[in-house]
Amino acid sequence: MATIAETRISTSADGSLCTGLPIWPKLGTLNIGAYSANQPKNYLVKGSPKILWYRFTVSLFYEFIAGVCGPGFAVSMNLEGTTTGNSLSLTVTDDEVQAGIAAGLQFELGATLKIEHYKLFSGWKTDLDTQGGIDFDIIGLFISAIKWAMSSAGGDENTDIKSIPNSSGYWGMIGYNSKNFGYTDTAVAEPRVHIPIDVVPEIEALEAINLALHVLLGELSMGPTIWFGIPVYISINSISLDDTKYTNITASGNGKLTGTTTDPPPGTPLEMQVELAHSAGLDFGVGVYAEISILKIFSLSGNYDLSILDLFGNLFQVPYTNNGYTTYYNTLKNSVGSTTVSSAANSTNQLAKLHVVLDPVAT
Amino acid sequence: MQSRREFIKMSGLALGGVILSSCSGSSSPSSRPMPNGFQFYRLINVGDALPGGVTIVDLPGSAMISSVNTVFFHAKDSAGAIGCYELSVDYGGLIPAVTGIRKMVRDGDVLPDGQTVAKVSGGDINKAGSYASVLRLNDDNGNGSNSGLYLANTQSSMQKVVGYQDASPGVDGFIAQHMGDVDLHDNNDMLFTAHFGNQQNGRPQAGLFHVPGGVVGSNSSLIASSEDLVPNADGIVKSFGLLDRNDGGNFVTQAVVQLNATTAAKKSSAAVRQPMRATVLFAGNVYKPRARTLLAGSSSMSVSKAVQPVTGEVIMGPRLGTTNNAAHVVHTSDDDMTLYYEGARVISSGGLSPRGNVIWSISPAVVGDDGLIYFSLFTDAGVELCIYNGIIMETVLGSGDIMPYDNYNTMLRFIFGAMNMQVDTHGRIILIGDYSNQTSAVVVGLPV
Repeated sequence: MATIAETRISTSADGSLCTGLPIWPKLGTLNIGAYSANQPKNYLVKGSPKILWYRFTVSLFYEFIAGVCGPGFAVSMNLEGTTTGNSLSLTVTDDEVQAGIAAGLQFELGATLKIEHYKLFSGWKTDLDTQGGIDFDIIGLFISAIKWAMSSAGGDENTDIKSIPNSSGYWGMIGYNSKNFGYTDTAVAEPRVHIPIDVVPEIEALEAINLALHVLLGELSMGPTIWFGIPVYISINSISLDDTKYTNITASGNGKLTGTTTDPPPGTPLEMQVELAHSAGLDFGVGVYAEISILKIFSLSGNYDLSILDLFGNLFQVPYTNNGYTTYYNTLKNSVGSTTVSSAANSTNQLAKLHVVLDPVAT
Repeated sequence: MQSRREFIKMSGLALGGVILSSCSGSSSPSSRPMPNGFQFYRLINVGDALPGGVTIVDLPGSAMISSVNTVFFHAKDSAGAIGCYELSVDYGGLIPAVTGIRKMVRDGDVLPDGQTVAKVSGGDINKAGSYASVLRLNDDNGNGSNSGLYLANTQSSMQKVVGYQDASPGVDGFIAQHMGDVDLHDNNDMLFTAHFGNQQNGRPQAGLFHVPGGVVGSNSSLIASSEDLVPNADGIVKSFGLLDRNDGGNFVTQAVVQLNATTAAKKSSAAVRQPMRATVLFAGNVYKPRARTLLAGSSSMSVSKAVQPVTGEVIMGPRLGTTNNAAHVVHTSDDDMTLYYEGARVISSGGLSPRGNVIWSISPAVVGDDGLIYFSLFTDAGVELCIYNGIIMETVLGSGDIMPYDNYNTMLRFIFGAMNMQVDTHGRIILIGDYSNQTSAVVVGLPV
């Protein structure tokens, strides 16, 4: 019989997402910059159609830059207990699971609108010639709307969106759960959000165009759409004390884990290793839409969607199999009795991070 | 010997306020008789009083007529707000008489559900005189960021049907901030477009929703959504525009589509780096959501040989008749457009109007219950209101026409075609007219 003093097991010293494990080992955790800069601008609507006795010269355009940190997950827990014969019994405390992605979305939206009407015998007369545009941090600007969407999306109730310290305009969308291990065999963290937002009323320069259109009972609407979805399922595959590997790890439902081994029982174990198994799906993209209409006379609209993960082509096909998600394994370790985790890499499978800058339009 | 009709036409005058067409119902070779002409009467003028102690300062061009003796119009008032108003009209006397006026909704109104109206938009009515509109609503910060679809049953106040953050009808999701066009049909059946967050796939999408009876319930449904395949062509739907619905559940809608990569590569120049987009018009049925037919689309599309859609950009609002025949305008360039009805070309810009003027623009057409279409032609001589029965086209009102029952004022120009419901079941038409005495009015035309 051996006593296992309280031992901290964690994916990193701070247990945070960005220093956690990659959801997909082949991909690693990402620091992605995606931008849409084009010359000329990216137009959603552009034209000068003649409608009734009006000519509407319209251009609705956008640019954006999206930065991504992750997708990753973080696990931390304290384990303590005993071994008896070939059995292991551990009590789990202070366990947490996080999964998600940190992202910054900076949009530039712009609109120009010129309205001319044809005057008999004197030709075209300009009624309105205006333009407006704005750069903005979409997540920061609409944090309340996004939070509402997340809460109504039926996902993890603890999912939250948080400002990333020391990083202007970057936000994390993180699924979080506690009291997982010992209560259930598989912990789930599922950050999820999908929301289209109309920014025109929020932006003075664009709203000025909208007010001008209102006189004609017309309307301008434009804004970004964003969507994230990262269900991550994490379970403990095995726990090793020195050279003794316990498998059949089962949650008792009252905060305890049990396992069995065919190896010789440990004497006074010095090191604990916890092998995690995880699988995940991922969907992440940004888009923008614009629409201008007047009564039931005419409507011009356009949109652009960018599934950022599609940019990686086959890389993101890897997690999916015909039967569902592929399972990956990572091992966390610490000295028995240590309640802190060193900042050094402590997982055996963590890969180097990728740094990618993409021009999505060129793909 | 000249007939009375020909004499009057040559004289350039209209007798007794009747603008005569050159053919009569009895002489039409079509199965759709044309009216002999119209008498035009003002119902309400710029400068007249509105409920609430304000007066009309502008009529933006929206007017609708029900088949229960009511007329709806939008007006900008002396306080700077835009509102929609309902007129009750008695057609039993010698001339139409307005017997009542009622405010439907106005900028700044607080609705029965406590929401404040930021901006009134056009909306739609049905034959029974119900009114529906997508209203811009103030958010918590007082900005008009949110939208809601409201319905005022005949002689009732505006009640919310569905709005921002509500469950999306017929699909697991929620309505987003932006809602688009709405069509209100008999029995308050509604067809509308809105952005929504789709819980099933975790994506923000554009949707085309059907809400029978104007009440969201188990029989409400999502008819089409972005990412649907374009019928009879290569590409996927990205968003919806203006729409019209008629009897039997039939509808037509504008849509913006994204062509597939192969087509885009074939049809675009090397310099084009963005996904290629096109505008289309397709027809469908709310009771058979998957049965869709492409009626018109950009020339950049690859189209199934099984259909022969009209080629051109679909910018203007489509209209649908009771026999499920669409009337729609397509642009072949910014300046060139053609009106189609029942799949056949009616008239194009660059051609001559019935009065012999060069056409440079065409309004969307309004389809009457009798199958006639009514539309405006904008010419180098002004505007002409035309009727077409499938064979014959006639101008029944034009710039420069003298209006004997209006103190012999001259009709300078008018707006007709901005809304779907501008002809009632009796063949009456409604429009906004500008007269030579510097007055503007909501004008009703009575067939004779």
